[in-house]
Amino acid sequence: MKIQRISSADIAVEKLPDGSTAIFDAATKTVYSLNATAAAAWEACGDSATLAQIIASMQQSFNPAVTDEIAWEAVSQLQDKGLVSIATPYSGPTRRSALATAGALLAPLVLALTAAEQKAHAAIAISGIP
Amino acid sequence: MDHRIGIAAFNSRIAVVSTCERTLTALERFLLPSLPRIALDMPGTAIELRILRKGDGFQLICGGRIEPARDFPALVSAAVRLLDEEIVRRLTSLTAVHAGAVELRGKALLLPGKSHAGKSALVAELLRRGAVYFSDEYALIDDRGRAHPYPRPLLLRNGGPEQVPVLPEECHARVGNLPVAVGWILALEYDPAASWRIAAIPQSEALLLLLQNTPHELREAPRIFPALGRAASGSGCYAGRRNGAPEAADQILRLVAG
Repeated sequence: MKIQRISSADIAVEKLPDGSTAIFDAATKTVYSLNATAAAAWEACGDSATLAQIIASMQQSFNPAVTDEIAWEAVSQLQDKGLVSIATPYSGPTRRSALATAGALLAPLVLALTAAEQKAHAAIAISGIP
Repeated sequence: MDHRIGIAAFNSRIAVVSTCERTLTALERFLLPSLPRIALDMPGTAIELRILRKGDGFQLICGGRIEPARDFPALVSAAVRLLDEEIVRRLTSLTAVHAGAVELRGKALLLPGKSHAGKSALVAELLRRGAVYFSDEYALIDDRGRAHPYPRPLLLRNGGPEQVPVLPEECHARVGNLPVAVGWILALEYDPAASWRIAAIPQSEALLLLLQNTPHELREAPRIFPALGRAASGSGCYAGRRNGAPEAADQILRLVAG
């Protein structure tokens, strides 16, 4: 199973000092927030990696306590947001079991703010009225 | 005969115009008082705010909008809000974030939030405890991620629906005059029934919060992404709930003291 980061010249990445990462996709005008766990998974993906390679990389560069389930949950959230693609199906832990075992401190979290959502917020911010 | 005040505000030239000199003189101390006054003998004024007497009250015209004001405090509030919108709309190198902003220990504390979130009351409490005033409405972020003062008067509700203009000096505070690095970003939801409860959030999530509170569209101004990213990158970032402004101000000072 190969996991690949989306490759695009339109991607701007802000690596933040607390380990989290913000990604701006200029093509879709969507901004993503990756907490430190999700950012470590994103980094570990490189151009292409197996889940085993991602787990090993996350354990080495981020936290030795990263488990298969935590790494899989991070990769799954990145895939849900279209930030990585998975070449073949994976018969690993279910999302539910992954979430159940991921410790609160290491739980990955990927958030997205689309252009339409940001525009709506901007309209409120200029009028000041929610 | 028209009387005029000229104000240089960031990259805008503002002309405030009225036939009533007394009204204009009384109003001037509330209009971005720490920003330079300029002569208006050159063409190219970007923003014109015209004030007319209407019966016992006033009428304001600015940027194609017309607003009534029934008395002088309402005139000040309306003038401040109309100028805010026009100035923010014209910013080219600074990014406005809808946030209360003060300087503490040499760094900016940002309180992002929409109107009616209690930002002004909380900023006023922080000023009474020694903070330097930046703004109760907009933090202006430059490309290096620093916050600049936006020194409009505070508009406090004091429990009622009407906004009352209050100058920072009335809170015994001085107004910031230089940009400073952002040290803290606190997204606080006001809940009178809640007690103080906040949790650290990732800096990337704080960046999303800033993007949710800017009037600029990312689609039209992609430069705001790295600018706000730099603001978040040096900050302790928190989200949570607060109750009354006095207690929240005390809690914030404890947080900042580390």
